[in-house]
Amino acid sequence: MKSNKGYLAWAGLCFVAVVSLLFLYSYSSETLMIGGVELKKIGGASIVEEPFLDTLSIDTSAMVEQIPATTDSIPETPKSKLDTTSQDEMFSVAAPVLPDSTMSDSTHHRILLIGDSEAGGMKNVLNDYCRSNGHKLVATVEWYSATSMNFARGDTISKIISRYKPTYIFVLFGLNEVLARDFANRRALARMFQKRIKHVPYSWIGPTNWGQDFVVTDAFRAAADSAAFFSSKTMVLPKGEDGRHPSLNGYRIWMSYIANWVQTSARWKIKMLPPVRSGYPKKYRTIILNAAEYRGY
Amino acid sequence: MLQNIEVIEVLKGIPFEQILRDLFLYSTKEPWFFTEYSFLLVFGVFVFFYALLFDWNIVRKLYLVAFSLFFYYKSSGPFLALFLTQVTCDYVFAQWIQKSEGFSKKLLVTISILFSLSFLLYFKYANFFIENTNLLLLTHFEFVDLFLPIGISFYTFQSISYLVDVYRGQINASTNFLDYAFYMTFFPHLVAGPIVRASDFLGQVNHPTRPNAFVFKESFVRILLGLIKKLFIADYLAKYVDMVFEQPGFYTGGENLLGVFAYTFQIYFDFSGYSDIAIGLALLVGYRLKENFDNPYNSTNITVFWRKWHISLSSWLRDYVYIPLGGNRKGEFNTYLFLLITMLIGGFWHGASWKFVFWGAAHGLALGFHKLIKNKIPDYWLISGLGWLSTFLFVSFCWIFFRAADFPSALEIINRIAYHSQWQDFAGFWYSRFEISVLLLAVMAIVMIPQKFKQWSIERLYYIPSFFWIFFLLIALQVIIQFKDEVVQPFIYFQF
Repeated sequence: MKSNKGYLAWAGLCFVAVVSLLFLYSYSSETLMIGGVELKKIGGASIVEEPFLDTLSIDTSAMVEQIPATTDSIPETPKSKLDTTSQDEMFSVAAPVLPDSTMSDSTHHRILLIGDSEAGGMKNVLNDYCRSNGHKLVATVEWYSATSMNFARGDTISKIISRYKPTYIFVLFGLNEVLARDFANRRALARMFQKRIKHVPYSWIGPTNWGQDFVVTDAFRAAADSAAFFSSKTMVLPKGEDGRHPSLNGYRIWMSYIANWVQTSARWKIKMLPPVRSGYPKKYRTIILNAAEYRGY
Repeated sequence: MLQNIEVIEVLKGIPFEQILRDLFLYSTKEPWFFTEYSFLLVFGVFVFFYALLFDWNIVRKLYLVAFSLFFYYKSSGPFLALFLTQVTCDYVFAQWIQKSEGFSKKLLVTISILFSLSFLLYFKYANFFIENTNLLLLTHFEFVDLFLPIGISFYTFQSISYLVDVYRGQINASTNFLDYAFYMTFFPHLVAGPIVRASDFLGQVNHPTRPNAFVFKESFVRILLGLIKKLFIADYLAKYVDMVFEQPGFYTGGENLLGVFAYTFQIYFDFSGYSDIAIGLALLVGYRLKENFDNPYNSTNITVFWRKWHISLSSWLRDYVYIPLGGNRKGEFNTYLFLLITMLIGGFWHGASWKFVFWGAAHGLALGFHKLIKNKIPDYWLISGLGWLSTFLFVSFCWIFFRAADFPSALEIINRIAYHSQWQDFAGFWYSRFEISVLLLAVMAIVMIPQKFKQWSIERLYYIPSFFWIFFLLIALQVIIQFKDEVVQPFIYFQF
């Protein structure tokens, strides 16, 4: 057979061209579809649960310009400046950052759920809603024992958002700080967290509180775009066996209220009709963190 | 215009500095495998310039050695220095062995082998010896914090074979350090084999196969098949295997049994996939490595299995352990004993743990048993079928000890299979794990297809012009991305 070094050069070019193309596609915000099937990106797969350490290695470089450096640490606020805040300020509304969606749209969203252990309980119920409405729950973050300190101070959440590129975020944490009374600090932390997610439409769900919430719901509402905040403060839900979290039925009831609010009243409305069935395949990634082992800052 | 803006937006979002760091610096979290996309990219650039340098022999060799060392640095970081030390010392030892005679020759070969083995023994077996010393003598020696250099088991065996071949006079010691370094560092076989003999490779160093259409297509087929075997089949099976082997008590007997079969196929597709990629990469740059697998699960007895499984290791053990011990020349009993010793060493080579020793012993006994009865087995198709079934089941059974975290886990799996299996388990498995069920059936079918037919099918592809093979590469990589897990499992044989 005739030999030709051109074959070798062509082989090299094939590898360079194909891998470069796949890399470029992975950095593109566009997602290509072929026959209704999404073409996944390098590092953009997959299903089962991810080890804790892998989360920490998520590439953050794409987020550098989007996240102000100041949000990586709590500003040193002298104690004297911690105000006792009036009720008006407590319910102040953050400036809108994205155009209003005045009606429920039918876009198929890539949804990310961020939260504490309650997010862990909610994820499968939310997945049913997402799948039934044509959305895709791409990942859930269950940060056990975490408070707004963990979510706000470290850049873990920014990394995860950068990594999964959601088009809609559900936030659900606060249960671990319902007994907190330092409104100003909680609000500062919540604002810091809000800066991390504000470039993506979101719905922020307040924690269940079993009647013990002192300031958390109000602090979160003050930090979030108020119309994007769903208060669960007065909800009465069936409790789970541990007496601290809702039962599965409780999560379903809770989600039904949230879903109704999301498509009728939320700041960014999306289609969220009741699911036609439960138990859809769980094709989302679960990122499990534990604040006792990983503070995030 | 809009499209241009979009492309610029995409380019602006690419963290070039981070990418360059990832490409050129060693990271303990992300050592380089053949399955890394960054490797495939850098390899493409390397091959392009390799084509330009192809006709300048010395420059080409230097260029390839440099890339191989870079590859090892990306895989093992600072252990590159250790590897280079060993390569240099072995080169010098081989020169001395060749020049000496009689007792001094024997002494030199013994010293050189012990020197080569010392690194392997220290890094791989130090903690094993400490653990067992503490257990037996009730001492309290502390464990050593060691990181096993990638590929040390493979290149140590390779250097031993070179030294012994020089000692036996089967080959001449290489007089050109660059040629020897080329042989030892050649990146396709460097980190996980196949174990390449100097007699097979040194002669090729200065005479690579010139690139042509057939070599181009054959190497592409091997690389793509290897990637699919590893990233698509083995990694997909690994998800289920890991679940079952981590908590066997959580699963039914049937699920445990299918977990064992899944591992049987996982390890084959993982390692043979790696070997395919290695052979394909080597072929692309002009060098032909020997086959490492030959449809081993088609074997009708355990002896044939070991002629087809990890051929480079089994033939190494035969030539450098079994035959020097005496082979079948020292009586029937000794033949069985030598087989057992050889397989015990083979088991121990895989890992510093008694479970690997047990795995080796089981195979050694099975080989001895087959040797004992092979002349009494009638040559009849039904017997061959039973032979295939019993060989497959035996090999799968032994893999339990190979994969399980420890002996109690292995025994728990066996217990679940023996006492907690019901026919309903399989129906339940089919409905609840449909994809894995289909994949298991598919890989079983692939394994059962005769090699000749597979080869014939692949050769039909060679009629497609070389230009279009870029699309095969694109499609294969995209298919892998569609199905693969986020975290690519390291090649199983990287740990040995």
